[in-house]
Amino acid sequence: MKPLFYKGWFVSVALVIGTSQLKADSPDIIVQVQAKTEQWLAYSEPPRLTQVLSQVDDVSDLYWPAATLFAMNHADIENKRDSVLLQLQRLEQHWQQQNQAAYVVHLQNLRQQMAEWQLAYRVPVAVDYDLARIRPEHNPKLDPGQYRLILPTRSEHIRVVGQLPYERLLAHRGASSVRSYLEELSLRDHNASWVFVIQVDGQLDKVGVAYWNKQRYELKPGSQLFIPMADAMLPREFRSLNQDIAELLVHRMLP
Amino acid sequence: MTVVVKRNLRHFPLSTLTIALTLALPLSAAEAFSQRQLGPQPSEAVHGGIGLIQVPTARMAEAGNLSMGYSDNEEYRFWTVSLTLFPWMESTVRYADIRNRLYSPFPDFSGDQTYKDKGIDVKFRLREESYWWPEIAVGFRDFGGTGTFESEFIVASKRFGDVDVHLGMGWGYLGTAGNTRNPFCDMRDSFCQRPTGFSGMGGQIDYQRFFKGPASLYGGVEYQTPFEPLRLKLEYEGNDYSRDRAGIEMVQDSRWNLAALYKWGGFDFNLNYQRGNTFGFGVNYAMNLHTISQVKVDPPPRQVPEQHDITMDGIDRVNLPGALAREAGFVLREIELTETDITIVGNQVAYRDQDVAIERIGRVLAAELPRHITEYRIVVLEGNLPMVETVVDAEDFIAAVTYQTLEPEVTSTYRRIDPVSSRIWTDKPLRAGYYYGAETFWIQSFGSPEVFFMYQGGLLATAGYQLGSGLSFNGTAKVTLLENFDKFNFTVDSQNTPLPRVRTYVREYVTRSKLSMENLYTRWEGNPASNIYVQAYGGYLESMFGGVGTEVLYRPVDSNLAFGFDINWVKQRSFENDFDFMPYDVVTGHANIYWQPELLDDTTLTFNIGRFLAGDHGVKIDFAKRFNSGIVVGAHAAITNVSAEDYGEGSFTKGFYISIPFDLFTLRSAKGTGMIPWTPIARDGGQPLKRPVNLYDSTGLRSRFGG
Repeated sequence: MKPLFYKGWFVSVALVIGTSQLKADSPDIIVQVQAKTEQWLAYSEPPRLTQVLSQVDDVSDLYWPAATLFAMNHADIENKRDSVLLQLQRLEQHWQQQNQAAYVVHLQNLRQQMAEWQLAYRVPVAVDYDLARIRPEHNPKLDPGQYRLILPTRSEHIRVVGQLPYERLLAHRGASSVRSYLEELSLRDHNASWVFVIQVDGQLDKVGVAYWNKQRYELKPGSQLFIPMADAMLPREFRSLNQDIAELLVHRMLP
Repeated sequence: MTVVVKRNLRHFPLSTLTIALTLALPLSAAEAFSQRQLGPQPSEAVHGGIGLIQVPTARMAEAGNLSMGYSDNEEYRFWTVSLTLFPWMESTVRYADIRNRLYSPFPDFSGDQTYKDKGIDVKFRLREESYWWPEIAVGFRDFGGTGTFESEFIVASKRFGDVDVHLGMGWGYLGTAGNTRNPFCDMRDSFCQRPTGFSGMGGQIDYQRFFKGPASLYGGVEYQTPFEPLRLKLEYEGNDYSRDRAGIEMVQDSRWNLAALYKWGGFDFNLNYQRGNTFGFGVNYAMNLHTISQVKVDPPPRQVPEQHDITMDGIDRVNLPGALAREAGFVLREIELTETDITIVGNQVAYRDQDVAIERIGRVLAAELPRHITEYRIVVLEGNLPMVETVVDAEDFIAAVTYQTLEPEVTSTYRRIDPVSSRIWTDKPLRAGYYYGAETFWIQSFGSPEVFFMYQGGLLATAGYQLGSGLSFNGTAKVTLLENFDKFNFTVDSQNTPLPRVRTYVREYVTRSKLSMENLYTRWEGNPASNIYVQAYGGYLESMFGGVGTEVLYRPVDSNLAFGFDINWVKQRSFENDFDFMPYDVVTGHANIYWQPELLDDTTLTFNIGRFLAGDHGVKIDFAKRFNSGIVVGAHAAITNVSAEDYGEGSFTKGFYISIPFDLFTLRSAKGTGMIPWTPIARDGGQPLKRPVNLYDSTGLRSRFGG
């Protein structure tokens, strides 16, 4: 199955990108594969997903629920990040005027975290080699463009972002609910009713965690947990900020 | 007397009917295990509707939840149906059997049947629960009617882990004990006394009594035990049973009631101990009208190859119509093929969902036709009339169904327009010929004096001849196969009514013969201009009236507004034989408005304004809510210039109906729906003519979710 030519492709594509001189006969589709090793694949005709996956060096032991295809040339996601950052900045100014130092610090942390996220458009396609080979609807053609295909192994961690000074990794446990991770964090005066879960396969859910609405909800390894800003921190015009941030996290590229 | 006819809206070949009768129970969607709500889930109270035992809570079931219940607590038995119409609104219909009272003091009239009381409840959520706030709801129980259990309540519910706590205030039945001051009484003196009796002839909303008289606080808790199917309830009620109309005195030793519930699939069984001296039990079955579905064994949609080299000469012209019928339920009438596009005209007979139908048709065409054909025009007919034309961009469609793009969207590759391509066919004669079909019918009534449940079922056998010009001749014979209408001990009620008896001879009509002529008429239909449909008809139009009439409807494709009018001159048919008429005749007709408001999802409001059969003027309003499964639940009321006293029992005509797609019972996709109406009391005011064909129904395909 393993074609012999792609080390050569890697060199040529790297050259093309390096000099930014795409020629007429240059490939329409470039896929940067981030699996156990890094690979570059290039195509002049749109490939099917199976074709791309068949050229990946080593697909053994991959954790397919976490396999994700990102389209690198969608500007929308970066625009959205900019607008959310701008809103956070305005909110920060608002609380600065009110002398709410704790809120300001929290917002600064959040902005810092957000600025560091690597974002790209997550293509809403389940990347699964077996499924793609059986079901045509799971084996689409790639549209022209640049992609990054991230094929991780099973993560050991859950990633927590949001109302924390810095991002934290917690060990993933089977058959454990969202609440048990929150208890581990021992958040001070956390009385929020909801957290956002961004499952590793891209599913976004708002999960009840308070005394009145707690849900049983299990996390897949590698998922993100976003602890939203408290309602008290959000004047009316900023009410949708938490949802906006959670939606951005869906498009976050994690190694 | 309630006449309830179950009719398919469409004519069915017998083979389809046989499939329809090979019933398979609808399945509900499975819940994901890895995500679920903890703590007590909402369950029904004995009167129906979400609550504790006797008292309602602020909780709501999921939108679309339909729960049917039976409960028995010694003096009362309740049959209930509750529906969560919207996430913020619950409605309940209930029959109470009061076993220590007789239906009437006259054995000749109602034998030894016990007293039956029907009631309607409604509950609205005012506020959702949050960290600091409880869920809050206001409700009205058994409003209108005789008001045996009439109450109003405001209630709050707050969950604490596995415990759900409720506190409410009740007026009327729920507040009889008067354990607190009525806060409205402090504001206005008129709220201190609750007026008695009911207005008109019953059946009206007695809003002048709302929130008046004694009030009580009530409350309770629900506990979800560690054993998941088992839940416990404890309540303190505000009724002291001093004013119950149970026929005997009801002794209350304690205001505290308890219950245990056991959940098994869609069933919820409960055992309870009430008033400190009475055991009761009940069972509820719940399903969700949004998610209910049925396993299908339809042929798989055609796989479209990415490339093929079929030429114009290579098209399999012999097998294409068969493939369209088998795989897409499309019965081809006309076809026109050029180098660049194809127009097909026909009837859809299998797929109710129009997007599914178009995708299936498109897949067959894409697989069978040369690729230089870039446009598919699909015209769907209803009978002989073109309803909607779907213009498919073939290139985009093929790219989508062969997944040549990462996010294929089939529905964005076509658009629906008023049929223009079919106009070429109007010069040709339309198809002529015989047709026939059979429908089942089911008439039922609850709460008759003779027996609580009365029924009549059988077949309506239809045959007709269609001339090519839009003119047709139709007749329907009604054959009764099973019934208990022989138990009637009177056929015409003895109420004095100043109105012409346009509907209250119903018992005479349905008991005359096991074989009768339901209708026999000639009808013309046409589509003279775009968006306009017209029909005219004459003959024996329905079981009780014959005459002539016409209807015009203006209905743009996928518009949320349609309107038209109908006008008829009809004469009352004799109930003594199939062909004679009685002297009464009337000109009746309405302006008809159909509106789908954007604020309410999948809801159609219909207004018929005009003159009804008894010569009375007014408006009939119909509210229909469509659920994702295709089930439609509706309610209607006719308000006319007939006074409540002249109308008689019930004060005005009102009713409910549920329309169920056959699709939910068949293993193969099928069109057609069965209608189960429920009209508590039908009298002569506000009664429209039942036209053999209603143009809004027959043009249903012009709405994306219709047909």
